[in-house]
Amino acid sequence: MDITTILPLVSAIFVFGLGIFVLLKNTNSRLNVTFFLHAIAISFWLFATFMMFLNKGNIDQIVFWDRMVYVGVVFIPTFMYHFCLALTNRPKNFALYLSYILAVFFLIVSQTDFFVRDIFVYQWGVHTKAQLFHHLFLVYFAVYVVAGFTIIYSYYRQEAISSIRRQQIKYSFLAFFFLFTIGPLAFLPAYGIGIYPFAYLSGVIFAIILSYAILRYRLMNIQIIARKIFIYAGVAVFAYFVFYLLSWVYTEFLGGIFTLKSYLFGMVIAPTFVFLLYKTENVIRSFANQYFFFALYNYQETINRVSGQLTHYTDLSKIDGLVSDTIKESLGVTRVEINLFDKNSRSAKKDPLIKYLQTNQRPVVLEELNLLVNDERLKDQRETFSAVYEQVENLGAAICLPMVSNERLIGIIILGPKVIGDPFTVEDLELLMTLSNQAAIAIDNAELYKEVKDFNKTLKQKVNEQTMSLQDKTKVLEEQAEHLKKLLAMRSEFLDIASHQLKTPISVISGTISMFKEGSVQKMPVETQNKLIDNIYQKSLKISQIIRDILQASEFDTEKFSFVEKRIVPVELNKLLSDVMTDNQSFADEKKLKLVFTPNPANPQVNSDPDYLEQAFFNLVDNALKYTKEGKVEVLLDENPQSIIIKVKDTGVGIPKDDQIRMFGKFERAKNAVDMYTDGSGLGLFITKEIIEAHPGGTVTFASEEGKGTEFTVIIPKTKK
Amino acid sequence: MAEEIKQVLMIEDDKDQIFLYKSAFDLMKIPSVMALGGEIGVEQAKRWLPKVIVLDIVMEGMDGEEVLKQLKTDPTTKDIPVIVFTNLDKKPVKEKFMALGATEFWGKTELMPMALAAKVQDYFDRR
Repeated sequence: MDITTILPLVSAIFVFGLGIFVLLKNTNSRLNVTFFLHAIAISFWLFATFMMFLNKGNIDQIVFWDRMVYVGVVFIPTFMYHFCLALTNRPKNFALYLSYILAVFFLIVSQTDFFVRDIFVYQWGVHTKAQLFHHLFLVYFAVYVVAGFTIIYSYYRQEAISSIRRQQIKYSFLAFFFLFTIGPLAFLPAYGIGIYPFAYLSGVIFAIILSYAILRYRLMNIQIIARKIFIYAGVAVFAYFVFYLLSWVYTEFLGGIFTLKSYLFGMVIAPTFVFLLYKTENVIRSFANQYFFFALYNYQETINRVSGQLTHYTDLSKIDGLVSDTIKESLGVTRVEINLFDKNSRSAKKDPLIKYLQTNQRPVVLEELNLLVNDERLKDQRETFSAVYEQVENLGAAICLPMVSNERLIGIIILGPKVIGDPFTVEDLELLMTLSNQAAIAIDNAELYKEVKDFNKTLKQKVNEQTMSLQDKTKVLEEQAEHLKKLLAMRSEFLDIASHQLKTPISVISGTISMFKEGSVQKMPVETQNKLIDNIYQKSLKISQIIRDILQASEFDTEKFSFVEKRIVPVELNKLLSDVMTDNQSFADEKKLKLVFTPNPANPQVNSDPDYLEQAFFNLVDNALKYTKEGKVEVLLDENPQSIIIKVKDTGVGIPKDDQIRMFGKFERAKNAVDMYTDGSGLGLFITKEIIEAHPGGTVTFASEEGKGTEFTVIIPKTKK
Repeated sequence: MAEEIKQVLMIEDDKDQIFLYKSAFDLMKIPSVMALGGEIGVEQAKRWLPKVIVLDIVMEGMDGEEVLKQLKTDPTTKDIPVIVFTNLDKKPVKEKFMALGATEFWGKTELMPMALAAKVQDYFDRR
């Protein structure tokens, strides 16, 4: 048996293997099935050729096997044409049906002497001699092969195909080109031309080129299976090698397999072999990953990488990004969409897809659902499936993945179809499931993290608020303490003033009386004596006035002052103010000041307690006179439909800016008032203000300029009694 | 000739009080000058160079504190004894006036008019 005999067999194995892989990958795909059929036809041709070469001494055998060759060969152009239609997504056509009819026709004819007859022996092999129908067959063969190429070529010329698709077509074209330029050389011996059987190499070349396209450009999407087979084959080769090595060692050195030495040796060898087998598998796997399967994702590596990264992310958008990027990269899908359910409404979702995902916690594949809908016999189930199917289809999704964490469905991942339009493999689904679960856990954690973070933030805010309010409270306390200090200072100032004001008349009274007691006064002239007695009387009146002021101020002090209801009467202001003028006239005369009041002809009235109201204006006029050295004090009475307006104007010292704010405070007197008039109790304005404000809406305000004078304005709204 | 006359200057802005204390001084035959207010008081002190001065604190216009300061800064009046006589008889006020150079500090309710006159007489008798 030489290399020329082996060549067709090797080719046959290659092509057959490839055909099987492609078919197993997807038995539903027209492309895969037609490729498989085509591969079977080719490998049948090659295998039968091998058998023919093997039996080249026996004429009957040669003729039998060569006729077997044609069983495969007659279908090659048919299947090739069919495959080209599938590859370019063309529908079946009349030419295809015709081709099948012709193929069957030639299949029948090929088993007769009208096709091939006798044998031709040449240097490297044997062949039968071609007859009439063989010539016709060649015409049929050429026509369909050319048609197939034309289809592929014109498809390739289209602009609207993706670059990856273009590459797939290019390599398919190339593979067929080699197959159909070198392959037909095998027909030459039929016409008496004996050349070296290069033709049978065409199968190997065809298989290699297509395998490359399959791996590099995902033609027919068989990467995973191919890689697995590569690995299994590698492991098998290793096991086979070890088996023969051991057999050799046993027979050469241990005297056979069934000897005691062999058993003992085997006990050492067996675990070593298992260990080495494991190691070898890893080596082959990494070799396959590194050198053979370019664009293939590594399932385990992808998972490891992604889960490693996922645990670091606490940001939801980053997790989303990582997951969708990974899926897009590894599977080449058009669209990845991650939908998270609102935490509160997670269990409340009622639509069929969510319900289905929640119950099954398995990915929903559109294709699979289609089958389920068709196969299901129970009506309820079928309706469920079709409802889910409709929803998934409406989403434009190829797959919907549940995101499950702690057995809860927290969201779904929606995947569009793959870019190249191939279906998803079992491995893809496994990867997707693992990814989506990892993502679900990461998202759950991220949400938890965010909750904790938010909680911390709230807590911090609360603490800050509390601290702030504590600070505020401290501030308020400080302010209150400051206020109290001021009050105390005011109180002691008041006491100083009050005691001074009280002591002054008392000192005169007690001093005078002491002189009476000593008998000194009696030595004085009568006029002097009388004057002294009058002094005592005046000073005692002064004391009672001061005491009245103090008592009244303390009356206003306890709470907001209000009139006693039954004492409120309509008060004629012309009369009231004239009385105030009269009361102050002597004081004004004493100070040589003009005191002016012109009664208002409209005679305005106001509802008030006349005693209090009179005192309020008395204080204002008294004050004005006290703090004015020269000029006049003028009282103006005016009204508008809403209010009574009374103004008390003086040409006095005015009130310093700094003191204006606290003018109406109890016991407070403007700084320069102490210098100006030493008899002031410091309570006059306070009392006035309390009385005026006891009228609903009543106000007292003033405008003042130091050195020029002050104008007090009292406004009392008119009220019905 | 001026130093021959032994007299008291009272600086006080309340007429009723001036009348009272003037009566007391007159009764004791103490020559007295009554000044109604601070400005007049300082003026009179420089003019008469009295043996002793009785000074009120709370006065309209120039008050007792200012009067004392001026008296103590003027070389002609700085050695005249000043009796501060007031109804503002608080300890801190007393300390302040003593520090400013007052000789004595009395509350008006403590020292009756005849007692004040006697005190003034004491100053006359010392030299």
